[in-house]
Amino acid sequence: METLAWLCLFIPLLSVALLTLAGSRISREAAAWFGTVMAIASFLCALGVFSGMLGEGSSARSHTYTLYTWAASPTLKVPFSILVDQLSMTEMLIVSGVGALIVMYSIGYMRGDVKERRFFIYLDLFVFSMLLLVMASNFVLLLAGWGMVGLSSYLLIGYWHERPEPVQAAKKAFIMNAIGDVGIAIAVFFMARDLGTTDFHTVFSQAGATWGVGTTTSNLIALALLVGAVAKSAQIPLHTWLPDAMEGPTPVSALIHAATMVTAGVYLVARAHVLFQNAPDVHALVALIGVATLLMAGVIALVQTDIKKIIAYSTMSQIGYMFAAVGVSAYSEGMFHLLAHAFFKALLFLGAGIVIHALSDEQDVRKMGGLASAMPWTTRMMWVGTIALIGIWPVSKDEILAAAIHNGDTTALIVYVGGLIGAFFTGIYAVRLMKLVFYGERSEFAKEHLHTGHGEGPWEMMFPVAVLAIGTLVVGFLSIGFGLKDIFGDWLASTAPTILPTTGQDVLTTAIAWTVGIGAGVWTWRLYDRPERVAAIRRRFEVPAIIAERKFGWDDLYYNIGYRPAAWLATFLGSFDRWVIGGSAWVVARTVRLLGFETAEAQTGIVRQYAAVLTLGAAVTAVYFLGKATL
Amino acid sequence: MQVGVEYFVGVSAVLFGIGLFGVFERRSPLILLLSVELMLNSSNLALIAFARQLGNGSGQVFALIVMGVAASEVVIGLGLVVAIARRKAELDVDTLTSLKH
Repeated sequence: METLAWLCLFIPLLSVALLTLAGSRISREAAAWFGTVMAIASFLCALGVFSGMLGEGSSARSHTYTLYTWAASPTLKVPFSILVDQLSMTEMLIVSGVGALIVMYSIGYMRGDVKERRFFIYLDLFVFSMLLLVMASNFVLLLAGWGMVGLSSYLLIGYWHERPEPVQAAKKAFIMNAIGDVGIAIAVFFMARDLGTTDFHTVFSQAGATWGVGTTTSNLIALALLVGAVAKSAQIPLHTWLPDAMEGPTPVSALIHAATMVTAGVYLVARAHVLFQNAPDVHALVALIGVATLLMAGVIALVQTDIKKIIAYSTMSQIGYMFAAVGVSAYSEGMFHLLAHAFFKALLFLGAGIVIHALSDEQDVRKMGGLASAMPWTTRMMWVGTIALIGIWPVSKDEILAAAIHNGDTTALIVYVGGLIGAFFTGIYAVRLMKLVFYGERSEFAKEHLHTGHGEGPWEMMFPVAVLAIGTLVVGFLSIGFGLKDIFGDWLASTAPTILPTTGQDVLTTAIAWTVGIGAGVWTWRLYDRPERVAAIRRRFEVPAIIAERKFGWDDLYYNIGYRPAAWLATFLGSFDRWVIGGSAWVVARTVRLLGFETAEAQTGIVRQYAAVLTLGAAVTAVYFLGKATL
Repeated sequence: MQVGVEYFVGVSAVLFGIGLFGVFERRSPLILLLSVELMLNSSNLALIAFARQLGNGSGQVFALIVMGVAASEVVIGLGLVVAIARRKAELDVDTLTSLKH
C-alpha cells in the first residue's frame, strides 16, 4: 500500500520528466497518449490503495508514510511525508480519476494544436501538484503543493499565450493565488513558532491546549488559512480570477477550475477543521463568505452570455455551497458536494467543450441554439449534469441545507435561507443554458458552422464525458439522505465529521429545495419560449441586471484601488528613475566627457614635448623632495 | 687613493644632462634613442657608485637590470625606426604625430 501510494503521487511527475526530455523526438499523438496512460496508471495506484484501505478497520485507516527529512532546523523539522486517510483518499481518487478522464478528453480536444506536447506536460504537472497538495501530511508540504497547483494553473490559463487575454488572465490568477499562499505561510509561521512542527496530527491534537478557543492567535491562524482557501476557491473577495481563467483551454477549465483545484479551499477547511472549531468567529465567517459568494455568483450567472463563463460562475456558486457547508460544521456534506460537483461540473464543462469544438470555437450562447437534434448524446449527458447542478440527483446540495437547519444557529439559518435562494438562481441559469444552446430555433451561425460530418466529436472526447455522466448518477447513491444509510458520511466520519439531520428535516428541506429548483427550471424553460418576455423582464430589472453584468463591480473596485495606484506609483517611480537618477548619471557622464575632450588636447603626438613635460615633472618632484629633506 | 662618490655622481649628472640635451635638441629618432641610452647609462653609473659607497650589491644588480631593459628598448626602438624609415622617407620626430589624440 505504501509503494502504491508513492507511485500514485510520483507517476505523473515521472510523466512530466519523460515528456519534457523526449521533447519533439516523439510524435504529438504519442506524447498525448503517454500523458494519458500515466494519469490512468496513477488512478489505478490510487484504486489499489483504496482497496487496501477498505480491507482495514475504519479506525486503522490513517497512514503516514515518510520518504526522508525534507528540511531540518533545530526548532522545526519538516519530513517529506504523505498522509493517506479517508479524506485524502477521497481527494486522491477524484484528482487522479477525473484527471485521467480529462487528460484523455484533451487528446481529441487539443488535436492539431501545434504545442500539444507542452499541454500534456502541464496537465500531468498539475495532477502531480494537486496530489501533493491532498496527500501532504504537514502544512509545509501542503503549501508546496498549494503553490505548485497555482503555478500549473497559471501555465495552463496562459497556454494560448499568443493572445493577450489569456496572458492577462494567467497573471491575474497567479497574483490572487499568491495572496492566498501568503495566508497559509503565515499560518505555518504560527505553528513553527509555537509548536515546532507543522504535522497535521500533532498540530490538531495540540491546537486546543496551545492556542485555546476563540483567542486572538486561534483566530489569526484560522483567518490566515481562510485567506488561502478563499483565494484558491475563488470566494469573495478574491474570486475575480476564476471567470477570467476561462481563457484557458476547456479541459483545463474542467479539471482545474471546476473539479479539483478550486475546491482545494474546501478540502483545507475540512482537513483543518479543528483549527476552525477553535476560532468560532472565523468559522462563521467561512459560512457567510460561502453564502455571499453563492448568491452573487448565481445572480451573475443569470446574465452571462459566454457558455464557459456561465459554468464558471456556477462553479463559484457551488463552491459557495461547499464553504457554507464546512462553515456550519457539515464537513462530510461539504466533501460530498465536492465529490458530486467534481463529476457533474467536469461533465458540464466537457460537454460545453464538445459544443465549442463542433461550432469552430464559438462560445457565445446567443449564437447557438437547436443543437439537440445534431448532438443527441451530448444533450443527454448535459441533462445529467444539469439535473445534478440543480440538486435533484445527487442530492448533495439539499443535504447541506438539511445539515444547516439541524445545526440551527444564526449562521446556519442564514446558510439555509441563502442556499434556498441560491437554488432558485441555480435552477434558472442551468435551464437557461440548456435551452439556449440545445433547443429552440437553430441560429444562422450554428447552421453555417456546425460540422455534422463526423458525429458529435472524437471518441476520446465522448468516452470521458459518458464516464462522468455515469459517475454522476452512481455517486448519488453514496449519500442519499432521507435517513437512509450514508455510505460517504460513514466513510469520512473519523476525518471529517458529519451532521445527521432528522429524517423529517431532511425530507422537508429536500422537498423545498426540489420545488424551488425544479420550479425555477420549468419557469425558465417556458420563459425562453417567448423571447419578448425575457426582454420585458430584463427591462423590469434594469438596475440589478446592469449590476450583475458589471459583475457587482469587483473588477472595477480592484482596478481603482489596486491597479490604478500601483500604475500611478510605477509611472512616478519611472519618471524619478528617468529624470533624477538617469539625469544625474547623464550630468556626470557629460562632465567627464567634456573634461576628457579638453585634456585630450595635451596629447599632441610630439615626442619632444612629452619629454619636456616629463623632465619638468621630474624636476619639480626632485626640487620638492630636496627642499623637504633640507628643511 | 679613493675617488669620492661625488665625482662619480658629477660625471653621471653631466652624462645625464648631455642625454637630456640630445633628446630635446635633435629630431632624428635614431639620435633620440642614443641620447636615451646615454641617460640610462648615466643612471647606471650613479647606481654603481652609490652601491660601492654603501658596500651593498643591490645597486649593481639594479644596474644589470637597467642594462637588460635598455637592450630590449633599443631592439624595439630600432625596429620602429626601421619600420618608419620604410614607410616614410623623412625621419623627424616632430612630424611623426599620428599618435596624437
